[in-house]
This record gives sequence, structure tokens and C-alpha cells, in this order.
Amino acid sequence: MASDRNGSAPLPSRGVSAPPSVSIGLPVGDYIGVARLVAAGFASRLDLRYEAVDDLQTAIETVLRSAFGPDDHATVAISNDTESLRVAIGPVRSNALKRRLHEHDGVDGIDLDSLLGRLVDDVTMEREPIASIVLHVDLAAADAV
Amino acid sequence: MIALSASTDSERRALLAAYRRDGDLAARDRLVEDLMPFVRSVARRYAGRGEQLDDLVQVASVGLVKAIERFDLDRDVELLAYVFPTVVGELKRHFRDRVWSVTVPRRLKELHYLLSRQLDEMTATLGRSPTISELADAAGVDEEEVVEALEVGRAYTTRSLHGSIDDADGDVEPIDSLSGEEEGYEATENRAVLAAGFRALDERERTVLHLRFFEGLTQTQIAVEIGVSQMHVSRLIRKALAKLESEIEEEP
Repeated sequence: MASDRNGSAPLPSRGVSAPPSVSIGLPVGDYIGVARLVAAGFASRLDLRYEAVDDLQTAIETVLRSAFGPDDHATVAISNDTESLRVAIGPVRSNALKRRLHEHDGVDGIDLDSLLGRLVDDVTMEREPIASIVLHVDLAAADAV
Repeated sequence: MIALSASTDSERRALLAAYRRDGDLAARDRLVEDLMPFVRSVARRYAGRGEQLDDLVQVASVGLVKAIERFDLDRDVELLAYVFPTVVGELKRHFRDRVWSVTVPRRLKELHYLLSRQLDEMTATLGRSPTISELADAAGVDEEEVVEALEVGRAYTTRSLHGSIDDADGDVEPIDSLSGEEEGYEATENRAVLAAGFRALDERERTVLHLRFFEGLTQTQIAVEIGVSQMHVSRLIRKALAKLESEIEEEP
């Protein structure tokens, strides 16, 4: 998956213990901004750089807009370990990542998987506990910038 | 104080005549280069109103290009006397067209402007984009306030910088006016332009998405490439992706 990184830093350098996880349930239609805010707040505690935070927010927003309808209810679960930040967004259909953001007579376009891959370090699908698209941000890639 | 360029009016007229008569692009570029200090100083007059100077200079540059294209060489008027009101008009239109789409507390607006400026300055200084905590330290506020202020930027619309700069001779895009065509780039961009969803985007949005998702440039690199702030690039990306999504939803 894509590897371009906007930067992150090692785990908390200011003596602040990062919360192990934050999970929110939200109606997708009007609450995407809430998911963005929570993600930014969580990521800021890991000292992610602005660009990485912004890309993560865009990735979350893209998943919510692409894989859910405005009347759907989504769960956004954010957590981290020493190596990565992960955001699981579900429940989604198992083929959600196959969807193309546009397609035109075989001309190259951007499928959701590729697009997300430019925004975060890895994108996976998980079946349990709910079918989710999982965004991964590699915290150790900070020095790659 | 307005900076005056070194050339005389007759020298500038000669350059413009060479451009008009012979299509001498080098002459036009020299003319632009000669007048840019003047244009920058005019733009600087409008700084401090919540806009970054770089963005204002870009807007003012569009006014310069318009003035160069429209000035009547047969008129007994100094070119500079025509450039000034054209540039000022472009700047005034820019401010008129930029609005907050929702009510945002003044405190957050001001913090947003401050952070937008700090983001670019710190990126240049550090050689990478700053962390939220670094931004918070520099602004003297909490991280939560930074997150909140960054988010309110979504409520800021920027109509005049893309697609709505009407020109009597057709729409003029800043990006069209200020940079030349690159053949290789145009060819690869067609890949994106041809796709149905991309047709819904304006030129600048297509360019930004192309650079970000096809060329793999970071926001910071794109900001340098097209001459706007990093935060502006972020807004353009989000807006373009939302447009793409809307386009798909409308498809049968």
C-alpha cells in the first residue's frame, strides 16, 4: 500500500499518556465533522504532524462519505500502540474498498483503496467485531520526511 | 509606500509591444518581472485583513496579467497608471468574494488566521509540517483550541481563487495566468481529466488532486508548486473529494 508519509513522531514526548482507545458512534449525515475533530484530538496527543493529521481526517471523511449513506450510523474506533495509530470505521459492506470513486471506459481513475493509500500508510478490512475499513498510520515513519 | 520598478514607461511599452506584435513571451515575462515589486507592494497594503500575503500577491498577480492583456498601447496613459486600479480591483473582488459560510466566533477566526500563517512559516523553518503541539506552543494556546481552530477553516470559502474570476475574454484562472503549459504534465493530467468524476471539478481542483493522488506530492509540496498556503491546499483537496463523491452519487 502507499507509503508517502506526512510525518508523525514517536509516542508522547510530553509525559502525557495517550488514551488506549476512543470509540464514537455517529449518524453519518451530519456528524462527519465530529469524527474529524475526535481524530485530530487523538492524533495530536501522539504528536502527529499537521499534514498527517489533516490527511487522516480526510481519509476518515472519505470513508464515511464513500462507504456509508447519509442515514447510516457508523462507529469510528481510534486506538494506538507503540507503532501505529489505527482507525476502524464500520459497519461496512465487505466489498466497500472495491468501489471506484470514478470510472470511465477503462481510463485510470482513483479507486477508494488507492486514494486512502495516499492519505495513510495502510488500509485493511476487518470482519470482527464488525466489518470495518481500518486506516493505519505508522508512527515510526516520522523521520521519513 | 508603493515600490516603483526601475524601468521607464517607454521601456515597458516596448516590451508590451514586442509581446503583442511578435508574441514575444520572454518580453511579457520581463514585463511581469519588472512590475512584480509594484504588484507585491500593492498587495502588502491589503495584508493584515486575515489573508496571507502570498495569497494576496497571487491575486494581485492575476490583476497584473489582466492589465497586461487589456492595456491599449494607443492610449496616452502610463502602463503603471492602468496596472494599479486593475490590481486593486482584483484584490477588492477577492475580499468581497471570500466569506465564512457559517457563523464562527471571532476568537476562532483570528486563531485560524494565525495558525494558517504559522503553519507555513514553521513548515519552512522546520523543513516539515509542525505538530499540533508545536503549533499550540507557538500560538500560546491549548492543543484543543488548535484542533478546533483548524477545523473552522472548513467554514471558509474561497470562491475567487478558483473558477469565479470572470474576465471579459473568458474565465481566467490564476494558475493558468501565472504558469506556463508543460506538455508532459498536460498529457498525464488528461488521464484524470478524462474520467467522468473529474469533469465536475474546476481546473485548480483537478490540478491539486492530480498532484496529490497521481504524482504523490504532499500538501506542503503542492502548496509550493501552485503558490498557495498549505491550509488552502487542504481545503481544495477536501472540497474536490466531496465534489467527486457527489458526482458519483448522482450517477445512475
